[in-house]
Amino acid sequence: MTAPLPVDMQVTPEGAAAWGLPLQAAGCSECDRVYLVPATRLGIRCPACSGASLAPRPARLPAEPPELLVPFHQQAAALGTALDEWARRIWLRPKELAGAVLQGRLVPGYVPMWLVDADAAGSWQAQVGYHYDVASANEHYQNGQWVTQHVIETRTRWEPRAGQVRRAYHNVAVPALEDHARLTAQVGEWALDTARPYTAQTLAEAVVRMPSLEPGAAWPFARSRLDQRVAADCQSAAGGQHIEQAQLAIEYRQLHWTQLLLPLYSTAYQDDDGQWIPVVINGQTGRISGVRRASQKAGWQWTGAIAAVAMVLLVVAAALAVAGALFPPLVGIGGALLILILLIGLIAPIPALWAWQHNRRGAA
Amino acid sequence: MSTSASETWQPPFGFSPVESKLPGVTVYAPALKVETGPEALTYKCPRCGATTAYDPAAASVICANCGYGQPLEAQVVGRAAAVSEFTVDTLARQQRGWASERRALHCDACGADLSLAPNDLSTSCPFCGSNRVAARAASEDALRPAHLIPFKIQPDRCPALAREWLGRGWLHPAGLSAAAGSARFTGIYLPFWTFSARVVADWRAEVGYERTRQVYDAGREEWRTETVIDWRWENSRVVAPAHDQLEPATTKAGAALLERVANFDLNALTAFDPGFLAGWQAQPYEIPLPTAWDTARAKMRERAKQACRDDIASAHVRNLSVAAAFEDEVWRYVLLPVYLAPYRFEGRVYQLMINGQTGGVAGQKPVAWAKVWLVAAALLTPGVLLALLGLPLTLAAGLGTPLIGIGGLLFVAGLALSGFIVWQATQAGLP
Repeated sequence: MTAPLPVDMQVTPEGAAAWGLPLQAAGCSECDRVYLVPATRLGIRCPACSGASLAPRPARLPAEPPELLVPFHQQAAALGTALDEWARRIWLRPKELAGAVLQGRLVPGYVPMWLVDADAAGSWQAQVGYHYDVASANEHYQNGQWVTQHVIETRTRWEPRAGQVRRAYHNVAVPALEDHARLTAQVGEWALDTARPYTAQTLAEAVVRMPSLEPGAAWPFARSRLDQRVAADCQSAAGGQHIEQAQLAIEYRQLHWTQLLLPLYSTAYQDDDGQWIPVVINGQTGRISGVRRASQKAGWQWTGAIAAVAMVLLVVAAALAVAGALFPPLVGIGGALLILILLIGLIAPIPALWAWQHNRRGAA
Repeated sequence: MSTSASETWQPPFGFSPVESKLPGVTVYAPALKVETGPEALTYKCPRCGATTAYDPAAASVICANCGYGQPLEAQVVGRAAAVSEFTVDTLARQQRGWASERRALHCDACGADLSLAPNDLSTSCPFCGSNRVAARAASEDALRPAHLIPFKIQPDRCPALAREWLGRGWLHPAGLSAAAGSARFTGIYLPFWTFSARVVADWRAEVGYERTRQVYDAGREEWRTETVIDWRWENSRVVAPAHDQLEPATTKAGAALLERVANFDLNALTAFDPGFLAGWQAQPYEIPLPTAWDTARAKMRERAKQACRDDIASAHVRNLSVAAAFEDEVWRYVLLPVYLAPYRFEGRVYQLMINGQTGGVAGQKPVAWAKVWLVAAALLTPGVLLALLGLPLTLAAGLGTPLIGIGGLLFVAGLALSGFIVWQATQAGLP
């Protein structure tokens, strides 16, 4: 296996200068993530964890600017309704968990992926699957007669194939963040075929996350993706429709690493305890993801209100019981009221319990 | 840089390059088995030059002149013999057919040029009598047989088998077994298709269950028991597998005769070797695969329907519908050994067939109808005589009724037995 060539990494501000904008490296003291931000964004809460404010710090950056960028398809101004709907799906929510609040704190940003170019050379061996059509029949017997329905089934014939590969691969996208898989699980994939060449203007006021996986660490991912591409090419070359048991002995040379930026909005809200909860939105598809905490305070308020109603009714029932000594039918009404109080008493803890259970489940 | 692995790479053994549909990627596939031997083999003895032929007793190609033998080493594969699927390509080729083309073969023995239909498998040179056999093993493309069952029964056993079979039974003329001497036994490999499939049949029907109930009969003023049938819809699934169903691929031999004689043991299926055909006739298929498959499928679906019927736990069934899906359908083209022996008796020619593997015989036998009718008359006579004796006794003394009754019973029994004998005689005479 060929080791990846080291990428020319420079310490800011020299590295940031290559991006064509006056960007500054800044980091989060809580989660240790590093960003390139315009000076106006310094001091904002960390878009990923919301745990601390971004403070200037030196960082190692690739000397080259990003090669490609997937533009935002969702405008921040149009996300209010979607955020509001997303927030409303929870019953007892904190005051801050509201569309307008979340929209007001939206920060446009980009997360990086590596783009790898490589020359592949080596050999391959695999089972290639070829489709072929087989004539079959379904027979139906009814009213003393058989009716034949001829059908064509497509089956796969597996045949061994082998050969050599000598091809160049360009812009194979590879995760540049340790939490890339978690992020795509949250907000979904981006359609990478919509990527455009990077220009400084498209970056505007966005906050750009820096790779947490340097090329050396990202190489196993890159190799896996490159192998997938090679296997797919071998399948195409053999004219098959499937490939399996691919054994590749490929050397990758002339590696070249650049960056691809993916659009991601971030925002946050504070729960009852004053804890900041981050929310992220796929800038291309608009898919929203984040923890929706329930308001325990609101839960207790509802429980208290219901319990208060029960107490008032209890007093009334007691009065009716006393009055029943003079006018006996009132004892019956008092009894019915007691049953109602019992039911209300059973319902009363539900809001508090629900909020507690929801937050516990969310934490899990 | 030292020589890289890609530069020293060798394709796996037996692989050869094939077309790649993508620049920068080469593709190697297992090399197709191309038969490079002669298209046809001439069987002549290398020692004395006489014609050689396959001898079932020796399981070798033998020279009758000098005794030189060349054993055949073909592998017995039995029911594990390779099968083919009903690919659309194969069926399309079958529709187009190849029967119009003919091949020219050169006789190495005498130099004569012979004309051979493309699917013909063996021939004898009309000029020098050399046995010539298509030597290339079957491929699906050419639709040539890949397997056969070699002859086990020697030709010299055939007259005895025929004599024994012809002499069996009393319905036939005396001296019929002697007619075996007039038979000319021709050993021939006849073409057959074998079909296997799994039929998954979903049935639905109204099934009736009997129930008794008490009904008051007002006319007779009594209670009586009545049986009623309760109908209800039921459905279930039956899987009816069919293994190696044989269908003749020839029209030359009678289908009814073939069916009676075709109890071949397919466990003896052997990989095709041209030597087995040396000195024997072999017929290529005439009934194409799709036609034979239609016939086989019709039989399979009827069996599936019967299996559905058997699945129902009641004798009362109505509105039966069956949806039968065929799965895992496969076929083989095989050659099976048969002796054809037309024989002459009292100026007429009758067909006789001997299974070249098992020795089973089937064929037409003339019937001695005089014998049949005599026996039938003998069976009917006691009943008629008793009835005739009882009639005057009844009229005279009123004592003959039991005799008339017994006579009637004997007549009916004689009639049934006679009918059975006449039916047997008719069957024996059928082709």
